[in-house]
Amino acid sequence: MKFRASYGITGNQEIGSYNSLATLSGTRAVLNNVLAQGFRPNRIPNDQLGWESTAQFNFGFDLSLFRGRLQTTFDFYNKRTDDLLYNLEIPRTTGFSSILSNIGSVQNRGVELTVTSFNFQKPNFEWSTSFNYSLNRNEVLDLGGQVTEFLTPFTQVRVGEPIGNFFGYQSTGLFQQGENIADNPQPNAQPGDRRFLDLNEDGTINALDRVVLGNGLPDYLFGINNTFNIKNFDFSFFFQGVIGIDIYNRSNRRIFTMDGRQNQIAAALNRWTPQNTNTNVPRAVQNPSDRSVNLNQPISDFIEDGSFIRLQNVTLGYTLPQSPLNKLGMKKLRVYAGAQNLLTITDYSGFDPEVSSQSANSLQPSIDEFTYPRARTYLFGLNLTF
Amino acid sequence: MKAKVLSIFLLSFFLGLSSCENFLEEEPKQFITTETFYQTESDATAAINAVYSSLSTFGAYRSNMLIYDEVRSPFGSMGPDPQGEQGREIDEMNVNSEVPQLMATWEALYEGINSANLVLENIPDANLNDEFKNQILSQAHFLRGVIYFDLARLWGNVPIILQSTKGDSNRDVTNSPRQEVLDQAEADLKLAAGEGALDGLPETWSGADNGRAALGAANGLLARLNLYQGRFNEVLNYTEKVMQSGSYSLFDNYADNFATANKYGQELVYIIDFHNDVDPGLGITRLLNPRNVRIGETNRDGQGRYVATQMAWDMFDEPGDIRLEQSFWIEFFDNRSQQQIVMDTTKAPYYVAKWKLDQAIAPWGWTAHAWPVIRYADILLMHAEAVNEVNGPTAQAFAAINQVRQRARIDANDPTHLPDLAGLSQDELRQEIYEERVREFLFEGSSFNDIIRTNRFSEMFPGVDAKFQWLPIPQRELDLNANLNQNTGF
Repeated sequence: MKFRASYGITGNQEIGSYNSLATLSGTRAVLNNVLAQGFRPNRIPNDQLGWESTAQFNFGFDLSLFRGRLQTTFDFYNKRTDDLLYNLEIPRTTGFSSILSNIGSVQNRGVELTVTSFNFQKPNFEWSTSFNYSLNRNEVLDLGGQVTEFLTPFTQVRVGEPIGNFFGYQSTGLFQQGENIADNPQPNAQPGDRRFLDLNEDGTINALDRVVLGNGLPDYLFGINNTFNIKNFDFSFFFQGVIGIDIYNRSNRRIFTMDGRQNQIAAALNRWTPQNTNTNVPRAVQNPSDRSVNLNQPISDFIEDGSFIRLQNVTLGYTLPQSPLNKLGMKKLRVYAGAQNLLTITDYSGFDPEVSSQSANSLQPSIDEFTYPRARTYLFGLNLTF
Repeated sequence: MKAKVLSIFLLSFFLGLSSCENFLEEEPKQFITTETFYQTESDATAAINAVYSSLSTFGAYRSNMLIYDEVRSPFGSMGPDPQGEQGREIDEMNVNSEVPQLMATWEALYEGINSANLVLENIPDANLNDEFKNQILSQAHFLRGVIYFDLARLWGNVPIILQSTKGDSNRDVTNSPRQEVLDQAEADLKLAAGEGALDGLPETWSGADNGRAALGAANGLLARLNLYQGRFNEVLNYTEKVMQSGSYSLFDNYADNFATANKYGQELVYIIDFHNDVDPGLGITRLLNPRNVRIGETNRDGQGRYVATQMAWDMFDEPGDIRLEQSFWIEFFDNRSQQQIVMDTTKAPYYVAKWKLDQAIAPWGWTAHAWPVIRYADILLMHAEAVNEVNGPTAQAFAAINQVRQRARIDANDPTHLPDLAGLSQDELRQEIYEERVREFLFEGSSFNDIIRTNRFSEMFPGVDAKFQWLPIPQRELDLNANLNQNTGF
C-alpha cells in the first residue's frame, strides 16, 4: 500500500497577446455613394488583466491485495481556481458585449477511483476487469465582491451554486379547452399553448419568473472494461456511463417550433389538437405569441436528462499460432475486428448525449445545438510483427 | 568559483538597476490601439465614420427603425411573408423585454454613443487644424444628439453616457428621466448647429463628403426635437433657419425623393446612407415589395414583410394625389405565376412602393437608397404646424402646407387636384396637417412618433395599455445591470 499527497499552484495565461489593450476594428459607412472606412475600438482596455491560478490539494493511495490480483487506486482532490479568466458579458451601454476579465473563484472537489481485478490467470484463460469511477462537485465561491450572480446566454452563474445551471422559463403543461385563460398570467394564450410558471405570482410572465431548470454537469462518471484471453483469442469490451446530467436540447428548441417554417421532428405528430389533448407537445400555430417565440430563451421542455451508458468499444482478436508464421519469417500475426460506439442506452431524444456545442465556453456545458453525433466505427485490422 | 558567483551577483544587480519602468512595456506595431490612434486627419475621419456606421446597422435605420416607427403604427403591419416574424410582437403591441430586435437597436445606439464619446474626448487634443477639428467634433455632437433623440423617443428613460468606456465604467449606469435624455440630445444638436462652443456643421458638404450631416440637418432635427416637446416657438425658429438658408427646396417630383440618384439632392436634409453592393445596403426594397416580385437582376424576390394597412390607404382620400401611386403597388408582375397582378384596392395588405429598384444591386437584394430622416417637405409641414399653433391659421401656415400639396398634384393645373387649403380654423388646419403628414411621409418613420407627440395614443390604439408607447428595455441589460430599471408596466 502506498500513500501520496501533493499540493501545488498552477497558472493559466489563456490571454491572447495585447488583449489588455483596446485595439480597433474597421466599420463601414457610406459617403458619396462609396464605402468610407471607419475605425472604432473592438474591446475595452483592461489593465488589471492577470493570470488565472489554480491551487490544488491531492491525496490518494494505491492498494494491492491478493498478491496483486486486486489493485485499487484512489484519489481525492480539492482545487480552487482564483482570478478565473472569462469573457464576461457586460451591459451594452458600454458599447461592448464582453470583456476578458478575472471574474472570481471556483472550487472543484472530487474523487477518482480505479479498481482492477485479475479474475482468472490461467495459461489458456485470462480475464481481467477494470472499473473506474469519478465524481466532481463544483461551486462558484466568489464573483469579485459586489456581484453575486450573472447570466450567460443560457445559464446562470451564482455564488454558492455550481456552474452550468440552465436558467429560463418553467413550463407547467398546456392550456386546455374550457379553461378560464383570460384571468391567467398569459391572457392571450389559446388552448394547446404552453403554460409557464408565474414564479413570483405577480400575474404576468416576465423575466422575474425564470428559474434554474437543470444542470449541465454530471453527478458522476464511470467506466467498466473487461478483457478476456482464451487460447489464441482475445476479447474486450468497454462500457462508459455518465449519470445525473441535464442537456439543453437547443437543436429542438430551434427547429421544433411547429410554426410551419421548417421540417419538424416526428414528435410533432403528437401535438395538441382538440382531439389529442393528453400530450405535452403544444399546438401548431403559425404565429405563436407567447414566450416560446424567443428561441434564445431556454424553457424547461427542452432540458432533458442526458444520462447515458454507452458500449464504447468491443474488440475480438485472434493471434495465429507461431509455427506456420516462423516459416514465413513473421514473429506475430493478429487479426481483429472491433466496433466503437456500438450501443447507447439513454433517454435523451437528440442524436447523441455526448454533446457540447459551446465547448469553448466552460460556463455553458451540455448544450446541444446541432452537435454532430459521434460516429459508430467498425474496425478490421491486422497486426503483423517481423 | 567565488569570483564567478560574485560576478553573476553583480551582473544581476546592475541588470536590476537598469530595468526601469518601461523596460517591459511594448508598443504594438502590427495593429492600431486607442493609445496610438486619433493623431491624423484620416484617423479622425475614420473615427467619426464609425459613428455614422452605427446608424446604418440592422438594429438602427437599416431595418429596425422601420418596425418601431411604421409597422408599430396603425398605418403599417406585418405582411404575408411566412418567413418574416421579425417584429410581430412589436406590431401587435405585445412586445416584451426579450424580443431580439430591441437588443440589436440598443446595442447599435450605445455603440454609436461610445464611438462619439471617443471622438469628443480624443480629437480636441490632437494636433490638427481648428477648422477640421470643429467639423469632426460638430459631427460627433450631431450624431450623439440623433442617438439620444432616438433613445428618448423609443424608450424614454435611458442611461445618459457622456464618457467613453474604460475599465469597468458605464456598466452600472442608471436611467435618466426622458426629459433629461431629450435635453442631452438638444445640447448636442445645438453644439452641432453652432450655438455654443463650436462653429458647428458646414452649410453644405460636397464631393467625397456627400452624405455627412450638414447644418440644415442639425437645425431640422432641433425643429423636430422641439416639435416633439410642443415648443412651437422654437420649431418656428429652427424651420425658418432651414427655409432661409437657401440650401434646400422640394424636388419637382415627389418620386425623386426615393431615387438613388437624388439622395444627396435638394430636398433630403438628413439621410442615413446605404450602398447597393456591399454591407451596409438598405433592404427595404426587398422587405416592402410584394411577394414574388423579382428584385432586379438578382435571384431574390420581394418579401412583402411589412405592409400598409387599410387605415393608411384611406388617408389618400383626395382626388389627384400623385403620392397614392408612389406609395402603393397597384399593379405588378408576379414572377412565380408569370402574371400581371392588379392589387385589390378594397382591402389590406397594401404593398408600399416608395423605394422601387432603380439601379443594379447585389445578389442579396440590398439597395443604395438612402433612408430619408428629414426631408424639406417635413421642414415645411413642421413650419405650418408651428405657425398654426403659435399664430393660428395664418396665410404663412397655409402657404407652407400648400407648397407640399401643390407638388403632390397629378395635374398641377387641375383645380380639383389637392386644392390649396384656406379659411380653416386652427383645429381644422391642425387636423389637416396631421393627415398631410401621413400622406407625405407614409413608411418614412414619422407615423408612430406623430401619434405619440400629439398625445393620440389612446385614440389611435383603443384598448391598448399605455405602456406600449415605449419599448421595454432589453432583458439582457437588466440582467447584467442591477441599477437599470425597466419601463413601467413591463
